[in-house]
Amino acid sequence: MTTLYAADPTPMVARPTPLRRLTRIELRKATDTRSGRLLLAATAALAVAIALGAALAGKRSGHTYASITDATSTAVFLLLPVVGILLITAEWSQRTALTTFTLVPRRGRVVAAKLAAAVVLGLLAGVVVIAVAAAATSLASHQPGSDVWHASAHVAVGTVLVVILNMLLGTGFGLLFRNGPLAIVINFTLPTAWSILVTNVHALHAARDWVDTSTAWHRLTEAHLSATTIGQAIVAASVWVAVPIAIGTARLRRRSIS
Amino acid sequence: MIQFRHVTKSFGAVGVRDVSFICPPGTVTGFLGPNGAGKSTSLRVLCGLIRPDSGSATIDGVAYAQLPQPGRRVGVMLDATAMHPGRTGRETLILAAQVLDVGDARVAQVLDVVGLDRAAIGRHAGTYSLGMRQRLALGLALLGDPGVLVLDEPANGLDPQGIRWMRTLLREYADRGGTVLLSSHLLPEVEAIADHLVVIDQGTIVADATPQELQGAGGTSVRALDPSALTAALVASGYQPTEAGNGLVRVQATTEQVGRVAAAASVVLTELRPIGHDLEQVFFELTGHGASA
Ligand SMILES: Nc1ncnc2c1ncn2[C@@H]1O[C@H](COP(=O)(O)OP(=O)(O)OP(=O)(O)O)[C@@H](O)[C@H]1O
Ligand SMILES: [Mg+2]
Repeated sequence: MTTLYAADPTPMVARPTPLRRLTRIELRKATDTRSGRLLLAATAALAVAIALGAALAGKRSGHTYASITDATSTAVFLLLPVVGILLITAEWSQRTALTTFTLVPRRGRVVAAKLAAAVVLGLLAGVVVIAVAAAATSLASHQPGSDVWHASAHVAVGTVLVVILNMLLGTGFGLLFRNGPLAIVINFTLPTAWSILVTNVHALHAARDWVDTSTAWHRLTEAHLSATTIGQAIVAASVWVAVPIAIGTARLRRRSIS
Repeated sequence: MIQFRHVTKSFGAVGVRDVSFICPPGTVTGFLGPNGAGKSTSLRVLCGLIRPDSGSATIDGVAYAQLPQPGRRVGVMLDATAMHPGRTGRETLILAAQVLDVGDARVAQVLDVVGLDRAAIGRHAGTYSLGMRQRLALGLALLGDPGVLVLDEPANGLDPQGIRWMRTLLREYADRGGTVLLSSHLLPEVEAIADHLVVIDQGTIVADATPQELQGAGGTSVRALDPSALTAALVASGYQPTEAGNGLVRVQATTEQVGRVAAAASVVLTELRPIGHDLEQVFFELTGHGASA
């Protein structure tokens, strides 16, 4: 059928919203509500508290940058994935999906922007962790002559990576379930339950090395990276991050939005 | 132009079945039907939010989801209550403005048009009354300066002044060449502005006509100096008139159709009026609620 635009007031000249702008919009949506800001502030506050606590608690001085970074990152592992989950599920619980997907009907682009926003938030949080941990390390008392900053570059880069991966893990559960409370509960229990299982059952140790996020990803922060440890981290990320995101996105593209 | 072509979507037993109609540019189409008739489902199919089982809905021949920047072409308001209660009205508009790549000036302009004041837009949408949400949602739809408007129950929650204001806005919009499709379950809401009425009931279109045609849907009552000549002329033209005594003839045709037949047959009419000229009554009859009303 031929189409005449001339009779219409607006000619069809507009271009699709670039992915970069969509990502900025998603970042704005993560921070423009009180609950969003509160959650991010709580994450940062908890990280600072843990870092200071780890550095100053007790008189014994066996702290290294690695051990303090390790402690500090737990705050972010705990709370940041919730931000990622809500990035997705709030669209349904607050019913904004209707507006979001009407403005951008190519749903894959919305998902891509949300994942990119999750990566940016993970990157920023990871940088906060390594910076706060560095400050806490310099405050802590050290054993004379010990190498407190041993492999600190490794620790820093690895930690940022693992924070991003954990953020994507949570976001993937959000996509898969599209239900905030359910995704949060699964995010807190399933990887941990799996980790306990594969750590304690001898026959499952291979699974621990390859598909347990806490084991496989933690190795990224250690000094001795090998092709095997990198491979293990990638396999664990595929199972726990890529698969939920792929299934969740495929289902979202077909679903009715109302 | 909006075009629905044989759109079918079932949710178990109910849904919409074989919905086809057109909304031409420069007109306001009232999409009418009782609760659960399938209005929202049809509009969601049009906006790419529900995938139909079969059939298609297009805007200028293009599926909504294929439009490069749909908000610049089609202004959509599907549910004014579906807003983040923790975002201010201004923030809600700014987020959409960024997607559409329109500036702050346009946001201010739209706020002016929909009549939300500065104090109101700085408050969380959760504190808004239904009428304020409706205005904000209409503002969202107008933001991209679109040539087509798709509005699901826009008058819901508006006070009488609000309804009049919206009528004027939509009428002017259509008179400038815009295409408006708005749904309602209340006929009086759209009767005043619609050039075109599409009535849906239980998922199927039961009428697609101008308000004038619908008014004539109950048939015409006509009186002539020579009733038998008129009856013969009507029969010859393919109608089925019945003589109701006293020279009165009833026929299932519009007043215009009967007038033309009479003029062609040179029959003098002394009375010509539509039966059931109460549009509301016609609506009830179409949607099968006449018996209970
Ligand atoms: N997601 C869904 N799952 C199951 N049934 C649905 C769904 N959406 C709509 N329906 C059903 O389809 C029918 C049409 O609903 P729809 O919302 O389109 O009606 P409507 O004309 O907009 O009614 P109202 O005036 O109440 O808004 C109803 O029977 C409704 O229950
Ligand atoms: Mg509805």
